[in-house]
Amino acid sequence: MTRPPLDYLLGSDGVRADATLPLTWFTLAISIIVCVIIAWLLWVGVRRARANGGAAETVGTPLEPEQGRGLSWITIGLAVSAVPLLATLIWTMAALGHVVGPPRRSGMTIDVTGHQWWWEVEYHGANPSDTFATANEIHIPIGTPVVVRLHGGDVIHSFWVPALAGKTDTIPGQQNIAWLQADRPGIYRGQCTEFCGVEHAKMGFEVVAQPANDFEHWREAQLQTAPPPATPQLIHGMQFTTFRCGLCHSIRGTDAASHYGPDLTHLMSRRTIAATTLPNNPGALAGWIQAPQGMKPGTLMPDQHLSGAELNDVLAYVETLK
Amino acid sequence: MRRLIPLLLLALAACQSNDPRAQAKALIASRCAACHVVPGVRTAVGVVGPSLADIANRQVIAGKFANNRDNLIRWIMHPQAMMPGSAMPEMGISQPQATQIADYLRTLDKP
Repeated sequence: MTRPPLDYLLGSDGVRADATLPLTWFTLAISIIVCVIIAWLLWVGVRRARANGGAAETVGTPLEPEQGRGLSWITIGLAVSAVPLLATLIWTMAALGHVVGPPRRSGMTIDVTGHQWWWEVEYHGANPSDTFATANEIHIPIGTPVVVRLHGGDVIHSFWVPALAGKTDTIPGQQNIAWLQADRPGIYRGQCTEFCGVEHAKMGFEVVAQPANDFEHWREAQLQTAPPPATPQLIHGMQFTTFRCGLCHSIRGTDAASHYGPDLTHLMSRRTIAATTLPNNPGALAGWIQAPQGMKPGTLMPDQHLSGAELNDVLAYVETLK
Repeated sequence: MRRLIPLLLLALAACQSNDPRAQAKALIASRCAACHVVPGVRTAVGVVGPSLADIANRQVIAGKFANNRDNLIRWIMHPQAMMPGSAMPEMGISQPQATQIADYLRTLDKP
């Protein structure tokens, strides 16, 4: 599923990006054309000055109105510049009208909090018991406007899913509103775009847009608590995991109930770990659990110094968190 | 043109992935990188297990088994069967994948 870099300039997949992408290309094209014309005029001017004897020729006399044509070029230049400027202004206003506010009838509201260096996502339902938290992977139903309430967990971050919508900052002590609407099912990469510390670059996330039915299945699965451990190895794994990991992480259905780090109740349902730093497979997971500082130096999760047997038990238990 | 560019990039990616060394590197980046340093794989900077630089010249793997191709392939596939309790987990790597990884590792002869 890796997509080529800057591919969001080639096509948009959401309502807000649909409005801004053509404008992006238009302003880019206008800017390039203007630069080329100005550079060409400058070059012609320099050539003419040189042909007429160099620097001495540039010591000009001020233009007087009775000299005729010279001054009128200023008026013509202003008129020509006004056309693309005005077109861009009108287009920008129209695009802003499309993207600025969440639609009045939004289908769903979620809370997203930026933390150093991961994203906390909270879903709500009709009842308080329908609330659950996940991390770094935002599922949304297609065709539905989703309001994203953005919170700052520690420092300022910025929430950006280029293929779906523009950037909105997450600011501590303030709630900002963004909204997403995906037209097509797909997995869209998001990224923190406000420098927020040493691992800013490894603070990615994914938006998984899926048909309403699939989304509802996902939501119901996420509401489940972790399954009880079935074998002696898993029992030891669970005890060890809740003891060692439970002071920062939450696994619903166990004693691990801290919200300092990502909720791990359904860790294995996610495609990546550590805010898209690593693919979610047993090898990467074991390495991440044992030595996060090796892969993401500065991350707030400390190295664990587990023995081989302990690591195996923890890994076996964590792999049951589907 | 809009459709052509991703297609071209895809074609480019497809060309690369036919190369067994490129495939091995992709596997290593996905499965091994979090624990091992592997020369030639930019993201393989893990500090959990030993660096695999120069592994082609090592005599013993996992402190116990002769470093030959068969043992290396088996070790990559089933470390827990060969040495229960080792910190290296079972990663669900298939035999062809393990062979690719082992063949790549066996070219690493420079410290």
